[in-house]
Amino acid sequence: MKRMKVKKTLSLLLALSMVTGLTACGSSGKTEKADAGKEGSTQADSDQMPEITLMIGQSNYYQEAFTQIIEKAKKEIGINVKIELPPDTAGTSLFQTQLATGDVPDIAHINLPNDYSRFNAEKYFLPLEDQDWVKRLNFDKKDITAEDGHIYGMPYTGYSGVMGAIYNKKVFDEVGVKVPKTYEEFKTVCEKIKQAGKTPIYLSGKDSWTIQIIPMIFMANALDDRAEEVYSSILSGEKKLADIPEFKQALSDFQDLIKSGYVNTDYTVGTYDESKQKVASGDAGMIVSGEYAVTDIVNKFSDAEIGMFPLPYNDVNKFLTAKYVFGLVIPKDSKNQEAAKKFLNFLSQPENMKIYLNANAVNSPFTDVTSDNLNPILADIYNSYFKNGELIPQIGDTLEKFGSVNSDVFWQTYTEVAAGGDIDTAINQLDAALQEYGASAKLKGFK
Amino acid sequence: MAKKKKKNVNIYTYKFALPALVIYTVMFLIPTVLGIFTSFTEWNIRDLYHLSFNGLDNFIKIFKDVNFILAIKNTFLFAVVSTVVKVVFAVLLALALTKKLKTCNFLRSIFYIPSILSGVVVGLIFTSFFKMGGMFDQVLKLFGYHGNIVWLGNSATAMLCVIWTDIWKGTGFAMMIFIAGLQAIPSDYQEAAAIDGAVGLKRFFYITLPLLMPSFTIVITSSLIAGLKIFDNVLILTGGGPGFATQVLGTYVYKNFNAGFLGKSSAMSLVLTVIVCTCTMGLNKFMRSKEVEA
Repeated sequence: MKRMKVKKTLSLLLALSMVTGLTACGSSGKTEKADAGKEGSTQADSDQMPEITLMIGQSNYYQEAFTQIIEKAKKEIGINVKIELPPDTAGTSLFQTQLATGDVPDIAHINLPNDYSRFNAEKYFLPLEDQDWVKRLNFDKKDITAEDGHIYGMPYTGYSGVMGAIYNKKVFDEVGVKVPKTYEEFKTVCEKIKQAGKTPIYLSGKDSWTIQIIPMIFMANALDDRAEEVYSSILSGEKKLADIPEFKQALSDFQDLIKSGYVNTDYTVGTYDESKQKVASGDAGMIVSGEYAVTDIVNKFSDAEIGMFPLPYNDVNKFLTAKYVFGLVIPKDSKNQEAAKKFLNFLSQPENMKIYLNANAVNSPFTDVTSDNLNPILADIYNSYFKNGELIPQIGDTLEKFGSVNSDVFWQTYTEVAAGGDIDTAINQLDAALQEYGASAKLKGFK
Repeated sequence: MAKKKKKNVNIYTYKFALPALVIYTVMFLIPTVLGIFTSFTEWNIRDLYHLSFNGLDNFIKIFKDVNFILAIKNTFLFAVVSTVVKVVFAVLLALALTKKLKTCNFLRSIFYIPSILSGVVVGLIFTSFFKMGGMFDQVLKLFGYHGNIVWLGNSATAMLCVIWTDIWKGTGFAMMIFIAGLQAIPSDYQEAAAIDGAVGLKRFFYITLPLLMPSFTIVITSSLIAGLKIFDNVLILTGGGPGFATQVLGTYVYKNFNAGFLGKSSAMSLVLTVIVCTCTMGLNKFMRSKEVEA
């Protein structure tokens, strides 16, 4: 009997807790709204504080800086910003679906101008060229203008993407080499580091996006001044990759680099984080990466002595550069367009922009904002190579216009080439992929 | 309780089934039927509301794709090898653990635990297990191995590693079914066989094995279906890499869906569905014909 009683009370308790759980779920939305309404009325404004959503990929989100900016926005312009953080890999297809169905965030991060075609900017985004911040741009506004003449996004970084060899100065001193100026010298450096029993170049193939950097540098350097022209002939469908002997040469030299034992044996499973740690500690002499890796290493391993130089393939002394900036766009279907514009304008103001650039120390997008936290290595590069225009564009920017072909097919194919795969087969596979993705992206010249 | 009159009339109306039917239709039937329909269309995520019928184009395209063919091969390799090894291990374990051991229950739980872990967890565990200088290398070192093979990063070994993790995860479940099957075999048969002079292996092959057939049917069919549909293990362990070396149908469909080729990826999943159905139905029929009545 006693047992029955216990059981009864227990089941009653369970049922009760379930019911309260249900009601809690059901009503939480309402109470929140009601609270927001109260706050608005106490602030003596007639309408309640507008709330906008800001969507940004996880790896591009600097929590502290954004939290600070959002707090300021709430106080100074009376706009409540809610952050949405989709995982990086799912971000693109999520945003595409949102745009197609009209259920959109009010502001979203894309890369300008590369992502315009991927997200069909003409159809889905609000033109912003009439905004005040356009006059303060640190670069030619053509650089972020879409083909139809409109600017669809506000940049919040300046042009800063450089890719090259990041090296450990101590290792170079130990084996007695200097920064190489020619490709022969570069290979000698690799050989000497190898003989000293260290890894010359640490490749991190598990994060497959890093594997593309060496082949891209090789290709760009091989083409040198013709790079831009050849890329646009690929985009227009005039030329296939198989028609470009320099591309084949680049892949085959990339393969040789691995065959010669100049990279770590576990290059297919090494991660990007490990690569930074290896070069910082001096286990590896170099990694080939972008300015973001320099920033990370300087922040995380403050006593590491590192430097950066352009990988001198084909004896070309220029930095490979990614021709895009981070930007924020407002979808046409947004219901809070005015508030969104107001927030963008607020973010573009020097004091707020500085908060962001402190966390992500790259070039500033606006003339009246300086990026104070820039580390000396990058500041040097920006003051020399950037000012003198000693830069070559990467093919990655062109590939972006084909949709996700780069991450879906190119990176894997580079890995296969690295492992000794047949290069002609690889090139044919890439051409077939360009054909398919080009047709899907409705590029002229691809059907 | 006093009344024991059988009623032919159903006292509940069919309306009670309505909520379940609605959910089932909306969440399962409609997507399935739509999936078959969309495999014959050109449909892209960029133009979500414009899909055009294109006949068999998608199927022609995917069968010309070398990586799709590779994915089919890998899928079969995975399903067949993992099923066979799992069955062998599971039968042996089941035979051992139906003997009168003191640690029987304890061992059964140990072997069953991997089955209750999620695929993602197993993937992460084995990522560090197969890492260079990881536990696997350390174990091999004890036997005098000093090579530097990157188990998950080498196209020759990556697939085997992925298969091995699935075997590790799935054997326990299969073992449980075999144990149940073994315990259901009446001891009369064994005793009769013993009296007739059948011993050891003979008793196993002529008595145990035929009577265990129903368990084989369950294990082989379910393991084959799971093997053909494998996705999470591969995605976590290798992401289909290095290159395309461990790409299976599940991950390849996912990749194409993510790239926005909705029509094409529907066609791929339809191919996968057809493969799964024909394989398992054929096999099931064959296995059932081998079963005997106890």
